[in-house]
Amino acid sequence: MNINNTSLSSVSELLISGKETSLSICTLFLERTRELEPKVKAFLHINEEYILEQAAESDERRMNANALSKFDGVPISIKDVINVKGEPCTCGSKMLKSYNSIYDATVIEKLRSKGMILFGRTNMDEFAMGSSCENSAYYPTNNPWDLDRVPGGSSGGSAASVCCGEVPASLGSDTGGSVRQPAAFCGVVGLKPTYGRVSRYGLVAYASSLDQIGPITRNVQDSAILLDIISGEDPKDSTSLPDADCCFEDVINNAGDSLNGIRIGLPKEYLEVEGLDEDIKNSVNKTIDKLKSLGAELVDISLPHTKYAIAAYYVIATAEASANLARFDGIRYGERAENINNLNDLYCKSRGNGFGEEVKRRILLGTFVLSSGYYDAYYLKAQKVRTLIREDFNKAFEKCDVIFSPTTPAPPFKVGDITDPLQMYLADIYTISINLAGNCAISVPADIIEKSNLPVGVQFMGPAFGEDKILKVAKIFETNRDIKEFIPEI
Amino acid sequence: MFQHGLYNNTQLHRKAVINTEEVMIKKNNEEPIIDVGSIARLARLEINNSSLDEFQKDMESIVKYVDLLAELNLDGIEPTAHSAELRNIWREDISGESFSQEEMLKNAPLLIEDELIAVPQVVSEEGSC
Repeated sequence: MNINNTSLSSVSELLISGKETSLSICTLFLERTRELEPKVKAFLHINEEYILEQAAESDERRMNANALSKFDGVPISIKDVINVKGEPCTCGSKMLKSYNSIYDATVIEKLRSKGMILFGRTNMDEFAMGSSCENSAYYPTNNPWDLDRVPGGSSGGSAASVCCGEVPASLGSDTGGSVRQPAAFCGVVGLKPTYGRVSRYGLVAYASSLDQIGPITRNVQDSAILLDIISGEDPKDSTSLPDADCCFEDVINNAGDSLNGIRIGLPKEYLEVEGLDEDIKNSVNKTIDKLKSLGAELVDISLPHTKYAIAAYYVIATAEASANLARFDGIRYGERAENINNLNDLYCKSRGNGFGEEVKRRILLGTFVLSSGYYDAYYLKAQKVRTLIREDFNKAFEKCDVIFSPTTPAPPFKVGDITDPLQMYLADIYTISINLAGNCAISVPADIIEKSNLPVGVQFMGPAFGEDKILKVAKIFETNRDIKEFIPEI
Repeated sequence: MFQHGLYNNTQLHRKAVINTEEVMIKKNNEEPIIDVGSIARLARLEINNSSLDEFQKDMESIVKYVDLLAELNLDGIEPTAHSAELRNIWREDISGESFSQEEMLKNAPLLIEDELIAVPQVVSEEGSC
């Protein structure tokens, strides 16, 4: 087994064939993790004993022909914003430093029901607010392709853990690009499902109308497999939606090798913008040529309100965050300031001590845009712009089946290079609109920049519940792209 | 068990209402500027004096950027609060399993007699935040 390039499906095959046991696989991944963590720092917590205990139980099930699924015994890392019973869930914040989950998120129940091994909690920007993992209250994660660079965020630990082979797969969460952008920065696959496809029960809320849990994997097939496992309506999340029993793994198996008859939209607002990095532009053009040579019909489209997406997003997301994070009051859980004599001071000081700078900034902005007199000027306006952005996509999908773009405007930047919060927000330009519209999108590695040896990701966007379409196109592109494997030297 | 103290209802109410002037400071003939201190008080968030200027600067530049939205004519456009088509979810009112008191209190930072969450004095003069 080549551990630095091991997919979820290949681990599953090794287990089914009996060549490896879950215990032997998990031991190998633990050794790899011990070796790499001092450099990469993808994880916040790893409980070796708990991992080996789960693996032993899985092996026993398989030995007795009681395996829960093909994936019984396969390890997966979990972003530290998803509740796993008995494990910490810090959200990368000092606020929840000593918090221990008392229940499983629905996605975790689903992974357990397939026998998958919960392998550690990954680092993230505090409360999923950030694009670089530098906002973690504990330590930044480093990009395995170049340790001086960021892995992206907020699911940076998840993407880095898959990228360097510490685990075959991970679950992250995506509110404005937090699965896709780190996936692009780390040369792995990241999927943001349609809003409502995956239950948010047990996901610590950042912006409830935008958040979705999504898989981060080594290839498109694994992404489909994980989506099959985690999706579905959940009585515990009334925004989760019923879906047809679609088997995305079958979509991959039947994808074929040609894009004949598939219309791929090229949005001029994404491709003809100033500030798009030359190397990214070059990889994007190569990818467009490849898609054409595979038979796709390329269609010029327009998403005219793209320019307003970041502004609308930072109003809506921060407004929702200011409400969601009001629960951290120092009383029921989390950081509590000491020697306080009245309730108001307890709130103020506990929150002041527990939250980091970016979280404070977003709570302040959210409180401002919701304050009386400014609600109409900012929040209501942003919601109307959200309507226009949704309509842009609806109109575009009349002309094409999927929309193509780069995932990020630039390759991974150096740790500490972007200090202005607004500049950091602008880096999300290609991913944010999809969350506002509630659609789905996948980031797939497309190229490696020769001079810097950094990966480039491209994005396929689909309509709501169009995961079958984007997975199919992503799979066919992945099979035929010039660079076959994305493995950092580390 | 608890003794309810008398309190001045009007005064509490006045404090709870968010006043427009509170989040902006306007000097004569100048553009109004955001009052980060007031917003922080509304958000029950302590900001150290030393970082107030930095937050002030960031907020001003972010809000200036967000003002981009003002150039759009949004007359007649319906707002979108949610991308999913939300519908009411009905279910039978049947009680199910829930968390035990012990589990629910497990993460509370300060307990009294192991089963009560400790809260400092609720009604008092305004705090320092």
